[in-house]
Amino acid sequence: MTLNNTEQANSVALEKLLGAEPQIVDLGLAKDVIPGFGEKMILHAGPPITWERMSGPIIGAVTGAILYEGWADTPEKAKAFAAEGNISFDPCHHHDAVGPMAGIVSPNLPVWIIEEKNSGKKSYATLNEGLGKVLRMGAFSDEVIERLHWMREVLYPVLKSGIRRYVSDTGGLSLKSLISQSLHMGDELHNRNRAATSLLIRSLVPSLIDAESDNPDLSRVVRFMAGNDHFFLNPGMAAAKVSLDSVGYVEGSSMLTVMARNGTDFGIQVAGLKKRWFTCQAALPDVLLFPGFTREDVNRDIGDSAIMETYGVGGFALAAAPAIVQFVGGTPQDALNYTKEMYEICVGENKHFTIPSLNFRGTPTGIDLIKVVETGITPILDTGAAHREAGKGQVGAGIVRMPSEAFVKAAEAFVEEYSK
Amino acid sequence: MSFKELLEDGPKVVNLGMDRFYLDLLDQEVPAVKVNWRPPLVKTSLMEKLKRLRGDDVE
Amino acid sequence: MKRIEVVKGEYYDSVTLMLVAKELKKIEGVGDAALNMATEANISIMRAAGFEVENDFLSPDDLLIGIDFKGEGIEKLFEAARSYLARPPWRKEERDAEYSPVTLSGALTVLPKSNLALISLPGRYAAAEAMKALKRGLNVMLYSDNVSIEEEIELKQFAEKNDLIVMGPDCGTAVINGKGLGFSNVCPTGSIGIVGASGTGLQEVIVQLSRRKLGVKHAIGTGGRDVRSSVGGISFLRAIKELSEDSEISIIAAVGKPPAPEVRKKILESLKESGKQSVICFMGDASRKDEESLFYTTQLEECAVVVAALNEGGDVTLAREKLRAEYAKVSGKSSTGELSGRYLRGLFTGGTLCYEAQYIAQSYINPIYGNAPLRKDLKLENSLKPVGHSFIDYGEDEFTQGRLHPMMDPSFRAEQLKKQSEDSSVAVILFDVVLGYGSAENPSSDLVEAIRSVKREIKPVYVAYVCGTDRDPQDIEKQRSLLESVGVIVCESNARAAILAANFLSRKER
Repeated sequence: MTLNNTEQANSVALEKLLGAEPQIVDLGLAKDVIPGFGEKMILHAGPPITWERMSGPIIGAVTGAILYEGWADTPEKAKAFAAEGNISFDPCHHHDAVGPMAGIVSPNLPVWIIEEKNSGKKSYATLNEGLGKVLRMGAFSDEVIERLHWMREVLYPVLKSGIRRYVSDTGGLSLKSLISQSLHMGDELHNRNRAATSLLIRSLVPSLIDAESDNPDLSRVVRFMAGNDHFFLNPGMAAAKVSLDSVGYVEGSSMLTVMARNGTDFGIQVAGLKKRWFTCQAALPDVLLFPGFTREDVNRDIGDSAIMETYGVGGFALAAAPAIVQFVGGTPQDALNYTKEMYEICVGENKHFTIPSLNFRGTPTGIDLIKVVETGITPILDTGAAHREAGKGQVGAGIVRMPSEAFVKAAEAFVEEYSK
Repeated sequence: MSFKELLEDGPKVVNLGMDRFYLDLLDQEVPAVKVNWRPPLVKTSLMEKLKRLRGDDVE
Repeated sequence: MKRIEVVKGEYYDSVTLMLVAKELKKIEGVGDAALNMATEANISIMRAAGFEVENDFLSPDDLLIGIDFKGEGIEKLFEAARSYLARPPWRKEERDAEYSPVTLSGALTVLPKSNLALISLPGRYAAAEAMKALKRGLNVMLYSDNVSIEEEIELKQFAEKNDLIVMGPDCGTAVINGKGLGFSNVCPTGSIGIVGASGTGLQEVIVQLSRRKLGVKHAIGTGGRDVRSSVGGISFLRAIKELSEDSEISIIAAVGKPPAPEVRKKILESLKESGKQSVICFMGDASRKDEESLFYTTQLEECAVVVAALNEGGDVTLAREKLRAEYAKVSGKSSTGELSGRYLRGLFTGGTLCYEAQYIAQSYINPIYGNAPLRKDLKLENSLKPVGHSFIDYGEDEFTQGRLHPMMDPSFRAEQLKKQSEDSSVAVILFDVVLGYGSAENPSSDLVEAIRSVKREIKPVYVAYVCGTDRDPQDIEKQRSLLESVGVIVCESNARAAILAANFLSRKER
């Protein structure tokens, strides 16, 4: 190690993370802007996985994507198309992208383009479709496909025009400051994005009007965004992704740069171990269920949205969003307790993201593999839970504890790597 | 805090283990905090190596 | 039947609505329940769930309550829904649980002035945590056993270098500035200082002092191995040094089993240099002559008696004679009434109490077997099947794997007491009941229940000692009465109980 020890390496890694400045700079189609995006490629959330091992929500979302792309015209044919090996599957993470829940990105889906100002690194995420029967929950009905087409044909061009206007007038749209403000407004940026969404729309609407006032679709576009409390989640995740990416390889650091799930497996990456995945079975979420659903319906943990906790928000900022804790019949004190627990497994505290109820203390930031393994405490996150059957959508939401085996594997590899 | 100071000031306790001991201290109005201790995820020899890498002073 | 009701103009958080639905579904007959604000999306969701929603004049500020109920009286369910909304049943009544940190570091941010870590973790983790604590400048009380002697030495040497103390391993009792740590009895604060290598040994001395209206300022535990030559008495000697320098302490008592010769030498020297009067109680030691400021005892009550005599400036010899006379009366008390059976069984929760009782009893009856016997060759093959005269310590390792210590949970020993009572060869049963912090709320009750349920024509004679003070939380008078109500003879000290119990049988043997 060029630095003396892991503690120092972690300080360096955390500084880099805190110094990252993610900004929305543009939108584009996945096939045009995402590096290494091949033909018949579909990106998914979480660590690498083959079709045979995929769970219901991803299978459903892949089905929907194939239908959307026009590679098949019925769900059965779409599934057969995938089963025959025609699709090239890859994690979003391998292409600088992130996706919530199934996290499916297909060639003709529009994506946000986020740039980290200092390093110039970029990240990508699709546009959030809203709640209910949506692709990311594994739904693939006509309604879903039609909506995706509308988003590509109407939402995307208007939004792109508005963003480009904003960027040319003001420069990149800073996401860090939006996140920072929304933490003071009751959001935690994983399950609760209402304030961030409102702030984003507020930032964009003037430029949208300037650029598209004559467009009869403008009203519908704005209504769409305004009707979706989670519209911010996707660019928020991309902001987290590019910030963690900008940390890069830090020799000797045990700080996590990725946490992700694909509905079957849970995977992590560590700054001092480059881009190696350490995986194990994903957790089975024990969550508050929506009406009509039972425990048997819940799919294993899924989504790249764990990047928010890796970034220092989401479940790590629960104390900023006590309403979420009611998901487990808890109290605002429980929200505080969860957050306080996370301080004990982190490298440090955030300079920019602070929690009013903790006297504006910075959120616990930089998950430390060694502390996780030492204390026996794995990270918690609050997340939505999907139905295990493709197409049935979301069944509940709540707080989930990450499984420990992936951390054990990473710890063993860390020792092996640095004991040479 | 040295042993002498402990005897002079009275105990201010961090409890690791049985809750009962912690509760009895509260009953006596002894300042105390209880640790929700959990065993490490890896075996001791591996933990020692990690601590060394971290820079903990190991004798 | 599925029915929808609308509550106009009241907003509820979606989470609250889900939780109310969850509560309603707990009610028998409710197949489904859904509560949603009447947005377009939610109306579709409710309809998809089979509820008929008429959306004329519905706005997103209206609440839809949908219930599917099997049977009559669905109105009651809607009432329930409304009442849950008004007074959420899942809100916790008790004080919100404060945050409990998960690491020592976390704890030190909560209580930065901490000066002691009280560690009762499993042995294989305890040493590492103890070292962490010492490195953070905390003293350590190590209740855990199954810590290796090498670990003990490493911890104590580190502590010594850093002006700290390690009490333990296997240290169950301490009193610091009048506050009890671990298993301890509530006593008045006073001018006595004690260093002890055993838990219930310290407790008995504290209790006997308390009976004589004497208070303890500090009682420092050292763990049982401290006075071995490999450990060298590090903690014992450090404790003596501090007690010597404490101007509020007038008398020092040193309690334990006989130390290794070179450690004994250091202890005696250090006590002589203390400038205070000291009383030594090394149980099982050969009897020695008192020296100028050093008084030798070999039993716990005797130790307290000598301390009390010194405190009054009285005659120690006289005090000892008085004690012996009282003991003679105790032995005389054992009735000549009909004893059924031949053997004494001692069933103990306190390790040192068991040891002392065996030690005293063996001068009246012999041999005495046990799971923690006075001699190796007296060890029982099966501690659950005692033979002849036997003393069992239920606090020993073999019984506490996966079980709480018998002082905390009396049920296991009570079961054994019943078994022993129904053994026709058992004539007398002797047992201890330890009160104070750490002990069960009502330690006698399981025993009394067991005694009541014994099926035997002539029950054994029960002799007990209640080790407690009148300030202990368990109400010592109540404990005594409870025991006496089923015919237990309750004695005033561990020694007296042992004498009485042994004498029943020695008389019989005669």
